Amino acid sequence: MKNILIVDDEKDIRDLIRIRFETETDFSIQVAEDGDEAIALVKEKEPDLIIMDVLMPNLDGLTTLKEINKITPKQIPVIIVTGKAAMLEEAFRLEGAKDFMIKPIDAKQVVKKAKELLGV
Amino acid sequence: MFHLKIGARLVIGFLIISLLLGVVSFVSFRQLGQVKDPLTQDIPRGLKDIETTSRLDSIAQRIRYFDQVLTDAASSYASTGDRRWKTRYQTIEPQLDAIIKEAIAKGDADDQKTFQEVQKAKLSFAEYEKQAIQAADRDETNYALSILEDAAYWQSKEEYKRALEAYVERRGKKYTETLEVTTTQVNRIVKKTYELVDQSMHRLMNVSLFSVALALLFGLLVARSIIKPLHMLQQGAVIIGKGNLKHKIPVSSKDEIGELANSFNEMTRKLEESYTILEEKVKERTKGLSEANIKLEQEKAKDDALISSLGEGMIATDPEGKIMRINHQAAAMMGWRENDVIGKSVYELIAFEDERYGTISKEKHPILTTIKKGKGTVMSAYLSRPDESRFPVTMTVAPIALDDQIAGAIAIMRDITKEKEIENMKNEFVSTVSHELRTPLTIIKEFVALVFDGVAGSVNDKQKKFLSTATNNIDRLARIINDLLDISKIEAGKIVLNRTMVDMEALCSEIVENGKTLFTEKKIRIQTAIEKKLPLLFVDRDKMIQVFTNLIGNAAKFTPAGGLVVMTAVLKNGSIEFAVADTGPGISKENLKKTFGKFEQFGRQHGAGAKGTGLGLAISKGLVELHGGRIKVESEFGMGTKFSFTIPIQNERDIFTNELKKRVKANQQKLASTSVIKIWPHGRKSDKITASKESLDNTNAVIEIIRSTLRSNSDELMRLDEGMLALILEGDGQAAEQVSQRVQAALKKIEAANQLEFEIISTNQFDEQEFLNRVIGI
Repeated sequence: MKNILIVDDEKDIRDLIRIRFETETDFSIQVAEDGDEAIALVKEKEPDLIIMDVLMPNLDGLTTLKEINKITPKQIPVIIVTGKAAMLEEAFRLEGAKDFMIKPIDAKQVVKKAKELLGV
Repeated sequence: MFHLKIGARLVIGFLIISLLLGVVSFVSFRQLGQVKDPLTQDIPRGLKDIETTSRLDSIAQRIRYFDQVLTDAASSYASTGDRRWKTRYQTIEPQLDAIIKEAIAKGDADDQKTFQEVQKAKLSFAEYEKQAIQAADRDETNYALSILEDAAYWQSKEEYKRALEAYVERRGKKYTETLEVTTTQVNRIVKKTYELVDQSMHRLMNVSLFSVALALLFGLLVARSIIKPLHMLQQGAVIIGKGNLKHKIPVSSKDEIGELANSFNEMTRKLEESYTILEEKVKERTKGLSEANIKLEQEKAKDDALISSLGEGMIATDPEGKIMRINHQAAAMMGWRENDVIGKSVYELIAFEDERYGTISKEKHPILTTIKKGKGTVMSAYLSRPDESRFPVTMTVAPIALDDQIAGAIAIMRDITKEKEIENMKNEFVSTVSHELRTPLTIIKEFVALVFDGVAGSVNDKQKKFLSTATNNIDRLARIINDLLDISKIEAGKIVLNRTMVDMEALCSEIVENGKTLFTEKKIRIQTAIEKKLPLLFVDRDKMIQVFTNLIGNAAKFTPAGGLVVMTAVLKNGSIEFAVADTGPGISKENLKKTFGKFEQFGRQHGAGAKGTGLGLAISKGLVELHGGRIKVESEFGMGTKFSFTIPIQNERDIFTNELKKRVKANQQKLASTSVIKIWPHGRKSDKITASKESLDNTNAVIEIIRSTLRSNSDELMRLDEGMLALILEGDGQAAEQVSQRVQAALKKIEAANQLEFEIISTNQFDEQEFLNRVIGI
């Protein structure tokens, strides 16, 4: 069973992505509301895929990804979710960013992309 | 003498010399006279004696001769009786008498005595001869001959002879004496003459020498008297010539030079006078001028104050673009010192750059275009100061027209750093707001979708219809937000075109293919007329799709069922012109002007489908213009609408060179190197081959693979030439080597890539020019 980590400071966003995954897949879902929490969760249990918001308080999405890359040797596929396309360029510098979605996101599409990336 | 005129002086000089010559001549004459005296008095005296003697001698000779003639004549007559002898005798005999008488008369006492003896003897022998002639007359020849043989006759003859001989003897003695005397006399005369000549020569020589010396002295005096004042005059002229008009020539002589000096002094005085007058006049005029100048200065000060208080930079140039005036705001803005830039070419001093450090060519320099076209222009761009700091500026340029001629241009510059900051803040605000809007929008949309999908329990049809209306409007709101973001980026110049060489024919087909469903649904026909073999365009593919989608979307939206949409692409004046025409209701004239404005939605009745945002055409216009093209609309109310836009064709190599330069410069700003990986098919390095469709496909496949291995968007892949690729990277040669290896590994997947060759060129290996040469020199 695939393990998905959703990182977003908006509870509603986390919820709607989670609900979509729960409706359409049998993946286990973990959620984190900021970078620190995400890093802690990754240390605890490595997810198969991360869905990451960019603009977050405290630790932003890109810094969080850098930190995560330091913890694990495994290349975890990441789907960047952002309202700012300009951020993408920076995101793609980091190994691991495999795809992106610009807000407003379509949760169905996120699920579809995740399935593709995981080969399910 | 010095107060005499030069002519008089010369005459006197000549007279003196003539006088001296006269003296010399007189002395010579006198001397020669002395030499003449002894010659005329002494020599003739001796010579007279000699002459007298010689004359008597000749008489004596004749006397002797005549005697002989008489004797012969008498004797011949006696013996022959020929009367001619008698006639001869009678002719000669008186002659002899006359001669003897002459000799007696001429001779001295001794001579007279001698010749009287001769006369006596003659008378004696003549008596005998006359008897003999008388006897012969009587033909008594023998008697006649006997008379002539008589001793007494011969005695007389002998006496006659002796007397003559005695004379001759005496005469000879006397002649010798006279000769001796004469010789002595001549010698004495010669000696005296010699002495006199010698003396004369000495005297003459002395007189001559004295005269020459005197003449020289006088000559010198005369010359000096002429030359000295001349010299003073000349010196005076030199002094005056040097500007000392106060100088007086100190020549007091009354001659011509004195007059000349006086005239000269007079002239100088007059000159000085007029000079003084002139100076006064100049002073007067200068005063007037300086008053005018002060006025002018005041005017200029006013102007300067005006220009200075402009608050904006001002630069005025001549027709060649050289700076004539500049206010301190402009100088301060540019980081110049005003005086340093006056007279310098504004084209060299002010080089515009676009946002991405690309140099804007001189041909587009607003001052140049203004002077050329005689029409003002406005431009916004970036300028660099000498200290390399950069600032955004708006330059408003107007031509300076003077008598229908362009006398230059005046540019008002405004440092729009503040405005840019505000605009950036606005854009930041818009994008932040958009982002903030998107989140709740996403949440609303997603939860509506969740309800719609029955995740929260069953939903009836009516509920579904309401929910889908809500979803449509959420989508519309999202589109508005996207468009707002786009337009604010375009306006902020924030759009970065990701340009590549794009085959527009293929792109057009793709767009039409994608739009097919839409057209089929609306029962609209679509036709395309794309010119064959169009050159590739250097464009941002996604942005082009956005423009086409927008235009075609509009056409589809406003064309009623059964209508026709035509898409065309033709080559035109170095550009490709694309057009999308529909058979919709068209746009009224007054609305036509507003077509490309923001939030303009008018006139055209739109059919079913999503509502527009009113930003699509404004965005399209912005994107086309970003590509250097133009967009326009033609429409007649009720007859359909045609949107067309042009995209200029660019030389691939120029594009590449410009891009590369831009990248190198941008990387330099970040203190990073730039490297290029050149990739080309084996053996094709030197010839430019027009790619076949197949090789283009291969190239495209290679490009796809390389793209997928790129680290980030800052690595750029460009098609340098048909079949030749250049991968521009930020970083040094080592970093490029890593990328190169990765690219080569990835390319192993396709067969066509086996024949590729790789070369890495880096700015940390070569200077910029060499780097460019190596990359571009294929």
